[in-house]
Amino acid sequence: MRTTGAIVRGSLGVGLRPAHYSHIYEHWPDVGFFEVISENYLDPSTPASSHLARIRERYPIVMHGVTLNLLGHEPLDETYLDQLCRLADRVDAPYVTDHLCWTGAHGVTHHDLLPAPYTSGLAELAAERAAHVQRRLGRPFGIENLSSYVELADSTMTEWQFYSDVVRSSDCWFMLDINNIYVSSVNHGFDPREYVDAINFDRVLQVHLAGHSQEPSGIIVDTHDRAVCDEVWDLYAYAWKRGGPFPTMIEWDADIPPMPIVLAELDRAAKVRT
Amino acid sequence: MSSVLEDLERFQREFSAMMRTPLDRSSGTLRASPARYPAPLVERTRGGRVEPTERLATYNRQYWFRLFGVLHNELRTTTAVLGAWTFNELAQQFLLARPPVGHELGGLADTFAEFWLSRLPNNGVATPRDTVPRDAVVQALQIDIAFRTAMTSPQEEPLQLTAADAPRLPVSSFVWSRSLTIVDESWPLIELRRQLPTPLGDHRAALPERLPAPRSWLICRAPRGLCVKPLVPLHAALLRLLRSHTLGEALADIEARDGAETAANARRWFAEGIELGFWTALRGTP
Repeated sequence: MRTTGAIVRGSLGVGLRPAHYSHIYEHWPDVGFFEVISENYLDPSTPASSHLARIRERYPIVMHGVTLNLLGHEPLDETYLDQLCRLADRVDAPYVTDHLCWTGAHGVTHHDLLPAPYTSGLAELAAERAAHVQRRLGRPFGIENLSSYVELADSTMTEWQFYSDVVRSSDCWFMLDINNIYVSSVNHGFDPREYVDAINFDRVLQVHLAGHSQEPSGIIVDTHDRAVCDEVWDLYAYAWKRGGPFPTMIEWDADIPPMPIVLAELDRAAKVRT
Repeated sequence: MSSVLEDLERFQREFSAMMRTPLDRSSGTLRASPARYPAPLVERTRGGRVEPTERLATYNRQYWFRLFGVLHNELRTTTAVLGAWTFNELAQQFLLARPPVGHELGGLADTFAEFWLSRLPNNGVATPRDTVPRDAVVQALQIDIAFRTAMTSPQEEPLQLTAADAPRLPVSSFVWSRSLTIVDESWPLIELRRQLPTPLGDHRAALPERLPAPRSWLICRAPRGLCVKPLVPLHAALLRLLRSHTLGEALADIEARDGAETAANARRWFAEGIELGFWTALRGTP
């Protein structure tokens, strides 16, 4: 297993977003790493990839994908995996992550992270695929828990049992999203600490934090459009006590504020865990 | 494993149908229509404090509003000229006919433009307030796509002329930068685009007064950033001639139209094109 340019266990990173390129070039902020949405940089000839190459000269880059479709009914897209491998080599990514979900079906991409019934049969399928992805990448592959708005009656296990089964059986890693645990716990009425307690922190590659919003129905939606809320900071502190240190990263994908506001979230993360 | 995949296929077929259920417009706002969701999917969805259909509707609304948002961002002028309500109607029709298939969301704007440029009604697009002339919508789309092209096309090295190129220049044609588009407008749409707020939100821009005569703009990615340049008619004509003719042929054509002063301008325009990276290579030279 190749692990290059390793991220320091306790380091703090942010999502690389085009709105922040100019701030980065002007200030070269003190962040441990940048995480990129893999799909935005697959084509090496685009202006976005030129920015990434410039930033890669100064920071470690980790890759986070959104269209692997690990739980899709169709086979994994090997062409996409080829592109992912090339990007990982190009930026010398210490690890690559994506989600435990499906993102499209019957040839159509939904551009959303979608739930499936949690069954042992599906866990087995997902683990086989995740192990294949990790072999193809030749570096650690982290699987992220998703936030969800529905639970399905034919699930035979909890989400955290399903998640842990897939990670353990595939010999992959947790890309643990603390905000997603909180969002799903409110939407489905479980104790988020019970979820955190079920995680083997020896296998946590990285942790995500983000903001969310609430619909009039009361459903909490994982919008990544605001600061992290107090309840999620509390859960992060709990996870840190149980399993820290681990690399932590702030996601902010909509209504993106100036970079200093995002960096202030990193300061808060550092404070919360001391 | 095959039964797992069969169950998954059935579940994902129903879930996809639910997500892509069109939002209802009859109330004057965009609303989910849970009554149209596949019954087996609703039955297998757990409720609790929020009804199963409302839980599913969260995904249904997110699907549409995410894609509308992407199209609004990429097609700002078109969205502003039509207003979000009417634009979303076109977007919904387009997305039902051509759902996204790849991982690259921004490319939806290109297929949206391609789809509607051949389908816009000749008598214009009716909005709740007025009817926007077809030409205005076409030009807004072309301008938006030109900006998108300038921002996202592949990086290319600009043409660097050397002294050795001088003798063969008149018989050369040019490989154009893929970032460059020349657009025409009959309304001051590029000025309107500059004044649009970010984010666009529900902003609806009144279509400005029609210009006395159409005018041309060049939009490309230049070495020092985005180049958005108004073109006098002869300059536009020269650049268009250079798409299909050698430099010598294009200059001769332009000079024949307006004499010595134009000839001097044409040479200046050509030099400026080299400086701004309009071309990436010479073609067809011995």
